[in-house]
Amino acid sequence: MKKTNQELLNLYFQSRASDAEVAELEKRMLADSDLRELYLQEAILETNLNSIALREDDLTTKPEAKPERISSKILPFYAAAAAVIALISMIGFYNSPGKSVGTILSSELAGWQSDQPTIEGGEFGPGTFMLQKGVATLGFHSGAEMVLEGPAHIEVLSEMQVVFHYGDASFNVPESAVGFQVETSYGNIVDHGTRFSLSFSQDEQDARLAVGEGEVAIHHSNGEVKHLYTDEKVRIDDKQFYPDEDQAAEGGVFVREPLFTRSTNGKETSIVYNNQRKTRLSPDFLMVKNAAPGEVNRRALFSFDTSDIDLGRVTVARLVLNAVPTGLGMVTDMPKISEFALFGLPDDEREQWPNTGLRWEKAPKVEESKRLASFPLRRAEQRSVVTLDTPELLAFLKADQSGEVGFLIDCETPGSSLVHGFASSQHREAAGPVLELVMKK
Amino acid sequence: MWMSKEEENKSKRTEVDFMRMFLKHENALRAFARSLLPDWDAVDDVLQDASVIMWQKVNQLDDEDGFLPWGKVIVRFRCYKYLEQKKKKGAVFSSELIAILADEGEKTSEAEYTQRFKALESCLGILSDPERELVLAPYLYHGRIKELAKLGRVTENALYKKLGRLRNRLRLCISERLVQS
Repeated sequence: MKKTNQELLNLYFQSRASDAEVAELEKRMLADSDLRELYLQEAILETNLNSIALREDDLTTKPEAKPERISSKILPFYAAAAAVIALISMIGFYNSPGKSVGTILSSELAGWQSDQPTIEGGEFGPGTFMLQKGVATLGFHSGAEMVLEGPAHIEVLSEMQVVFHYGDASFNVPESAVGFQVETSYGNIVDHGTRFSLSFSQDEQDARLAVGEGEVAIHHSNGEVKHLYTDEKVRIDDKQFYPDEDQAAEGGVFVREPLFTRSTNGKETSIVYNNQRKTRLSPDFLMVKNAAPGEVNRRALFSFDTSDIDLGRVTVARLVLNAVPTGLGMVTDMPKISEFALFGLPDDEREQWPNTGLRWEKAPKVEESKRLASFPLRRAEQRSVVTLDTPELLAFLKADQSGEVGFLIDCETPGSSLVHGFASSQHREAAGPVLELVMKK
Repeated sequence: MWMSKEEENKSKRTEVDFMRMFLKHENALRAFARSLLPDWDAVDDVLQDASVIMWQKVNQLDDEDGFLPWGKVIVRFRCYKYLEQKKKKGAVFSSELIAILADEGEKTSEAEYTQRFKALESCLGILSDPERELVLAPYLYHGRIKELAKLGRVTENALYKKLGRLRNRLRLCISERLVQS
């Protein structure tokens, strides 16, 4: 397929363009002054991103924790110009290799407070991690994996040792990481090749440890040592061990079935037929309306980034929406029940729409989209949670090739003045659309 | 010998003066060089050479306000020299296109570089923290996208697509900001 101008520019600036693609870009640029202007703007964007990245890295990262990178802020007469060394050093560079002890494998709606990189796929070194919300998986180079649920506070000491202040976590320790240690204020847990979960309350009243499989040794700070085996549990406080008799205790997070959740990350908007966006739409809501004569009918659009998820492994897909009142129009002149339909947007450029200023006629269309589910909402129940998990939704996700899945909601029951609403990610009380995916083991 | 005020100022330019001017315009000069050269390594090499020449000739500069266009001319000819020496290495544009790009790039004003930088700084605020980190990651990891993709257990192509979408959002936002301003 013929590449767009922007695709060729992307390839060129990412140094991924083939000779043929460079030649094609050149041919088009020689003939098109607008494309040349776009090219020059792209060079400025590229330079500015580079400059901001280096500046922020210098400001926020400790030199010893830096990954190796190349800085360009080098002037050859640097040494001679002693008078300006101080000035240079303000934008200077470090080139110390980072001491990586692991990789962040997942960061699911995670809110971090850390001096470490927290991006999925990012490497981390020894340091403090505070996970305020969400779930994250840390993969240590030793092979041990820790699934952490916020709020949690830990310190990573090495690829074989963490200090656990509070939070819920599951550990999976393969043979390569036998001896992995978790230090707590009540003592040390030494793993002998197993899966176990640890729940440590924030007020540090007690901790619960449950072994899913294998063996762990707990060295209490009072000197006592206890070994736990498959399916055994124990409660610990600063004095001693207690048998954990509460069989219903949920101990720690034990993620047997990997669950991915995705929010829209702000990729959402509503459209209104007369395009009076400022007066008819609000960023707090995804608005939907179907009423004659149709001048102010509305539809909602949103999408999720799934580029880092292996959709082939998804076994269950759920889309969760929060219906909320918009405060626009009258409930009393509506039918008792309104039917809504969820559509999947085509897997091509029609998925690419701007978050702001989208006009009705430029927006993806119902007739070009795939119907995936329908659901009713009662006029008497303006607040409700809608969960959609149809086979069509699952099939739509599994067929995605672009790494982004887009949806449209339309109302199929003609109504009157009421404007239906679903919470957007900016809504103050309810959560915006969330995609939940259960993965095959 | 009698010297005009202007000539007196020129002859007194110190390293500090030069560094102040160079640092003020370094980003614009790098962007200009990037538009003529195929990668960042080439930009770094050329900027190093060009900065030496600028330092040697700084006293020929009549007016500090003219530093950027003057600097661009020096960068332009160092780019030509670099491309001439390295022309067999990698895919680069023809000298005809490079000359057109240089002519057009020289017309970009100092104000536009500044406005685009400020707009980008502001637009990065619309991204979530992980998105912002991802957009900036290629520059910190020296283009190690393949490695990042492997670490994140995603395909390289998927990561580039994600980056492409994020940069589209930034471009849209920058256009809006520039129109507003």
